[in-house]
Amino acid sequence: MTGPIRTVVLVLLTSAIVYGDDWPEWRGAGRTGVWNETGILETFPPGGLTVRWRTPIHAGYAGPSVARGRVYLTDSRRTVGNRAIERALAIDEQSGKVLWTQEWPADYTGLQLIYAIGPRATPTVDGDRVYVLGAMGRLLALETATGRIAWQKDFVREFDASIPSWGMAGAPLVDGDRLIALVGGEPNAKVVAFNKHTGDELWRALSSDWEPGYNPPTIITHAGSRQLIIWHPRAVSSLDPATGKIYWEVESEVDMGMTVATPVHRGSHLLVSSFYNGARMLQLDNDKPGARMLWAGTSNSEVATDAIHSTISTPVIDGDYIYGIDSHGELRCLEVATGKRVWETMALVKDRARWATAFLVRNGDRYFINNDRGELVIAKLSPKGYHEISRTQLIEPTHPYARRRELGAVHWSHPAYANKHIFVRNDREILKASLAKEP
Amino acid sequence: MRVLPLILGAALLAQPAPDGRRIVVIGDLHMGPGRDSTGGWHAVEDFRWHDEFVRFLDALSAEPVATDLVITGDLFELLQSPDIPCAYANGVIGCNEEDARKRLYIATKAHAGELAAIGKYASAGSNRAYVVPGDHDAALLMPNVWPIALKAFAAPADRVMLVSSGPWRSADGRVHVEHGHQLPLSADRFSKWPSPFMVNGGQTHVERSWGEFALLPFYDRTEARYPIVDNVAEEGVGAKFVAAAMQEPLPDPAPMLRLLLTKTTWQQFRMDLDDGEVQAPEWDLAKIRGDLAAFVSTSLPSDDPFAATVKKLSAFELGEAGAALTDSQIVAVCDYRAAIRRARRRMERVLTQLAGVGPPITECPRLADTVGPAFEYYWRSRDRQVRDHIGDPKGLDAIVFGHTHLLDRPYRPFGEVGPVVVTSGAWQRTIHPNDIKQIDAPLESLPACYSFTQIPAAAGVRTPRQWTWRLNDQQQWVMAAGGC
Repeated sequence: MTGPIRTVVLVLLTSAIVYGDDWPEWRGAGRTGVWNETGILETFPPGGLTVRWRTPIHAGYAGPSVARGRVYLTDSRRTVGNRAIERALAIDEQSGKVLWTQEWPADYTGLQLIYAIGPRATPTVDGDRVYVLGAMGRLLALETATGRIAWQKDFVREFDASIPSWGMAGAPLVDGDRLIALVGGEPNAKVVAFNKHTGDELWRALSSDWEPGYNPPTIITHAGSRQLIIWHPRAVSSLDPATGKIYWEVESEVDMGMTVATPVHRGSHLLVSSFYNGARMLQLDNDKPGARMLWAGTSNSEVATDAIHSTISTPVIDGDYIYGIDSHGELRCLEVATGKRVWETMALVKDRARWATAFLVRNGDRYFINNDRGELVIAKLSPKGYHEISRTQLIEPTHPYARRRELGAVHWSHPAYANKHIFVRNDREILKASLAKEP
Repeated sequence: MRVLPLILGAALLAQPAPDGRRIVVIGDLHMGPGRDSTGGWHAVEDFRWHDEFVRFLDALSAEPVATDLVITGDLFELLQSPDIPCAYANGVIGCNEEDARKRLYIATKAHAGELAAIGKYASAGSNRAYVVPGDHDAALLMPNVWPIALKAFAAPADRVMLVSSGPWRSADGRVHVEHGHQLPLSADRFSKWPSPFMVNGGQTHVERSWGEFALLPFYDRTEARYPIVDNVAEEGVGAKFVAAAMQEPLPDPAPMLRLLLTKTTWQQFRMDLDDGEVQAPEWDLAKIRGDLAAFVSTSLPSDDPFAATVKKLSAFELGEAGAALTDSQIVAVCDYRAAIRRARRRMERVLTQLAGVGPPITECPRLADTVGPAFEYYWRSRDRQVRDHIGDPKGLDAIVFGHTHLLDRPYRPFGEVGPVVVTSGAWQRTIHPNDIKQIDAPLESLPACYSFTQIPAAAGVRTPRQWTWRLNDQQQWVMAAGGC
């Protein structure tokens, strides 16, 4: 083999080995919660997962991102009182070694303090940049190679944002040369698009008469248009991601601003679901950007729920059915067309408790689900029922919880699934464990 | 056989008797002139519930527990009377003693049954009844007025007692009960309490608070047409609805506007996520006083029933209302606005006062160094007025107020280890603003639900709990914990 050709082959091989299927942002590429890798184990080993490495970290909810051989994460450690140092880290995907860190100060005064443990938003990786968001509205664009700050924004100081009770949680979204962020700036900068290279503001949109909520911006393609979906406590809004111009809005108030679960798009349906006010299914216009309410849950009670009242977990739409976690941990199946319940079970989360939750990720015809007991479950979901295939302990739950749970603490962090491994964190460590099918 | 009684006796002796007697706090009954010559109720008579009240006392009696029945103010309605005008050349003074006696005499005759029932209850076992004067029956503090009431109770003087010193404290010192009109921000404060008197022409008269001036003439004018004007909880808020219904301009809006601005109902805030770590903002009072008309006009949300009235006012009238506010009152208005603003911004599900979420409201201007999430404690005025009024809360577990007619959410203005403050509502029929269908509805159409506070007998910490006397689904009268 000649020199140049050898080099090309080496590069290609290197690319194939190192990069594989990355998980570069919240819920994976495209924010869809779908993991496309094959060669994944069918059941968990009897002795538990094979852990490749564990790396000590500080506290936080933000799940990891994985891209081009590195794992990106944010965390926080308290210094004095409510003051903290938040941090972004890059970890070598193979060894677990911390490659760089970048810190900034934070003061959690004003948040509901029991949950003020650290950042919530998953880092967003795009090429040679990773974009991280602290709980108090510090947005940083960092170079992936070194962690150097390329640019940064302070939502409170620069946009007059009021931080909602549970911190800033909407992971920023890269769209072309834009970085789109849920800012909550007053009076009319609820959403802001920045030049992702320079941080220059490109456009701002939506009134901040109401809180921004906690939802990460997402983009769907429907009716021939790319539509930026912003679900906030007053409405579901669709905007042109290039300009911020509003395409359509469907009003829907969400108590306590709890727009947490990511909107779910499938075909011409768009589903949102919140803890107090339940589900709203929108019917998207197929000819032009537009939407109407197809059905809405009838209950505004998180106790006597209807359809589905998601707290943190994002439901999934699979064919003609919705699967999701209700307000107290009930896993439910509903009809897409009507929201009518088909079945319900507590088997996934086990202890019925307020805000009990789990994160569902599809892999082929099954789901990998990590619940807030720190377990990982493989299951099939169908209108016939919940079929659990395998369950194993994934990580120790360490996240605080305001009431009593069986295990004392919970685990509310979304993992990353990349390169046949799972990457998951709690308040003490991040670990990488193998999900590869053994030969 | 002889051993068993000894053992039982020893067991009984061994159990310590609670130091604290049971305390039942009722208030704001507003017993007035009763029926007129036709046999119908006088328009200003709000207490039309003899049977329910007697049943309530019977139910209390059924529990043979030594009880202090504390009537926390406004047992009688002595500010309104169709027959005794208390009108003098000096328009700013209230009833003299003779006219106050006449008003009270009429009320005791009209409510002889209820008062005798109180006397009977207080005379049973080792019960006691304590009458704490409120702003509507402050005249009880006049030396020759109380004996008329005492006679009506038909009980020994050491069984039904007037608390002439001001607030009532339990024997164990752990519970403080008072009407609440003397809180620093109250529009119904007297300049001297418990001596709310002024001398005019050699005669002693009850002082009139500025709140009385702002509201009572309006009640007198409108109550015949709008019987529930003074039954909306919080008391005073009903004027907003009546003013909106009347559609004619108010003759003197500035005092009423000032009063309504200071009606800060904290119950509507469902949860407090601050965890006590945040500080209060500092409002830019200089900037606010620089444009009082703007401050006043933006202080009520646009969905407030009084907003339409405010819109019709001139800048002069708005400024006049604002100029009469003290700095503390301006701060209280600003704190309240900020709390509403935050509740609305986060779609906080409110309990009673507001119709769900509403249109946005602006904040007052802040001083620059108190901007940001660390400065979002909006309960400062609520807490500070209680702290300033009570002083050292040492030894207190509970502070109970009446006056507002509203079962407000318990709170701890001295911090988590300090006493809890509860409001006792009213042993009256009241209605929340959200539930008003017709502001000219008859009084009898209001829910038959009467609120009070109970503090069980205990040897240690005294824990108050809000209760109601109401009809259950089986149409039986019951005591139920919680609100109406």
